[in-house]
Amino acid sequence: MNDEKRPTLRPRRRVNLTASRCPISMVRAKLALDALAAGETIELVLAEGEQIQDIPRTLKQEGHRVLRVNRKGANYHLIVCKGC
Amino acid sequence: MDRNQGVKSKGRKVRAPAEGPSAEADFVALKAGGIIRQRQKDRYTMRLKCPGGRLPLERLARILEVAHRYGGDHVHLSARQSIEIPYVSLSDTDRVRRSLAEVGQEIASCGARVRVPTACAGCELNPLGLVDTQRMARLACDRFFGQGPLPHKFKMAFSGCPNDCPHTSTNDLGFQGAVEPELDEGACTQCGLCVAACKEGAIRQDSATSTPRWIPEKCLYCGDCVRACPVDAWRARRTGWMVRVGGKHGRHPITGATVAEFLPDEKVLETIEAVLAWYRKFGQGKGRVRLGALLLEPRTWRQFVADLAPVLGQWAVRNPSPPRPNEIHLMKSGA
Repeated sequence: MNDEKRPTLRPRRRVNLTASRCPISMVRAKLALDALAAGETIELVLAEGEQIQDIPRTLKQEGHRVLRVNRKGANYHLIVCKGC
Repeated sequence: MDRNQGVKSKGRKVRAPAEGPSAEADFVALKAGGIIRQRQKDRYTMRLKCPGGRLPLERLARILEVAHRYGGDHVHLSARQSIEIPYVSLSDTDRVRRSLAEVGQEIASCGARVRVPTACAGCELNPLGLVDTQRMARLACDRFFGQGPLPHKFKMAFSGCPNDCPHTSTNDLGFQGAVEPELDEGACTQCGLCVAACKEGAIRQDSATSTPRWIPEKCLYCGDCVRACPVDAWRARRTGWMVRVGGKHGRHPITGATVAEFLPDEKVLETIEAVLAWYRKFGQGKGRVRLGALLLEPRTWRQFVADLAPVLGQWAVRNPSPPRPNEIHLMKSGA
């Protein structure tokens, strides 16, 4: 894969899901991903606990890939590539 | 006393038509179980066999049809995933049975027999499912359903993951899916997602290298780490069944004991067979006693563990703890 096609680790869009509760948080994550083209990335902000326990595995099962995880305080910032 | 006890006991008249071919068939069906006397005169509930709670639509349609024709204004969903058709007259039970049999729907059992196994949706539908509970429940039902006489009823449940929705620890024999994880350190990117995803605190990040460290004593073998890992560094080393014996609900519940771990699919039916044979043999002459109640006695438990060891083989738990009584009623002292 050349550099032009490599998924960016600095996505233009960030969605903070920390105020949402299950299942709305997952629905919002899915809607955000639906708006992307395959190969595009997005930053999802998840709270510790239920969100970080449940959402990454669902993203993986749905064919997306978490490229990077940064922990900032009680939140996790995930760079997610659609369909990667 | 079972609600259907009166029907089965000697000396009680079975309300069957005095003539016609259905009279004998009804009596046979009553003795086999699955037709349960109601408190209303000449009304019986017919319990249907729905292993794992799965019901093909064709059968459901026929059930609706016969319930309309022979039953009351509703069906009842039993605590063990069966559909029950109440308010059937005894003289109609054979007609109901034959009509349902045309679409492959059978009647369930009651009494001192192997009951219809229960199961969750398992790995076919549930993202958390680790094993094919539906397939195994069906296989177990095909082979063991209705077997008896046993000292008492015998219930089995199949659960797809440690969330254990089918309550494997309160069945005479329970099978719960489990996965043992292992880490490919070379593939791990130290992202920490597995540490965050583990609900049991069974993975911690090494402070020096950031590499995840697995703590097996805390692990429930749910596979969350495997599912969460973005680079598939966590993998399944073993997948199989946790085997629990001796559990029960009822007046004096008992929590079953785990006697094997990661038992492979191909050993499940053999294990059921061995447990049933043991129960038949050691329960003989002890009256109406559930497997778990027998196993509460320490010597009997040791005997059971020793007898099952050759069958469970390398998957046997070493020195397993026995089943535990789980008293739920207020037992007044001095009573």
